[in-house]
Amino acid sequence: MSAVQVEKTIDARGMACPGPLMNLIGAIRQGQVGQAFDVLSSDAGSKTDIPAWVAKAKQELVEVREDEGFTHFVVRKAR
Amino acid sequence: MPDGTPGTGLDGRLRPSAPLRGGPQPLLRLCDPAKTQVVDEQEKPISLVLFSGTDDKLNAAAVLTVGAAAMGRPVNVFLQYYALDAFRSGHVTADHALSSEATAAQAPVVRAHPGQHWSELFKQAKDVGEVNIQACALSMEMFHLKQADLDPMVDGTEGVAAFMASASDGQVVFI
Repeated sequence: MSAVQVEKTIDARGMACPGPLMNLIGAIRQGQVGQAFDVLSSDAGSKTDIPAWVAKAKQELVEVREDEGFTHFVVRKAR
Repeated sequence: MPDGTPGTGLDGRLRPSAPLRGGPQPLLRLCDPAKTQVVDEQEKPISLVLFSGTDDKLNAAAVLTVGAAAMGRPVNVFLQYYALDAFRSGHVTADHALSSEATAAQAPVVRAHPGQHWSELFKQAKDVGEVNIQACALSMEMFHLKQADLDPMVDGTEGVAAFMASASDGQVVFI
């Protein structure tokens, strides 16, 4: 389990690149500073795209965790 | 821009990058302050010339556009020839076939892929970043098209010199 409290789980499994990232961006734009979102993605592109976008947008990547056939990306809205 | 709503994006915010209807077009487009919430670093624009009108190439171009927009790069899209034809109002989601590179074995794989339609990706790109889609004036004339014949996601019509001015010192990609 991740240490932070997750505000919302974004189940983007099965979505093609760049769908999971776009869902994350939508959640970050609508969310409040401090809230964390858990993106579930089975898209291989997310492994590079989500960390790259989080760095660029100056958000916070709290955790990347492999699950069965997909990956969790826990991202906190930092600003 | 759709008729009746010049100068506003999908979310209704003012878009300084939109060309002025009937007036002179700005040579350098301004950054939209409303988008700074996502990525606020100044980036060089990337400019895509879309020539091919097949669904696979339009999808590849749309993925590049949405990725660049998400990463904070202004994107200029210039629609020529068969790509312009694919952006005609009411024809966007029609079957535009696949490029000749697609083999008989690959074509069904491409068609069965569950990704979003290229038109949806362009709309997402416009929502998340600075994306300006312009029709090539020459191609408009060639196909006897007017702005009202095009899908509302097309912001306007411009000549090649105006497109190059927008491209500024960023890369230009031909698809």
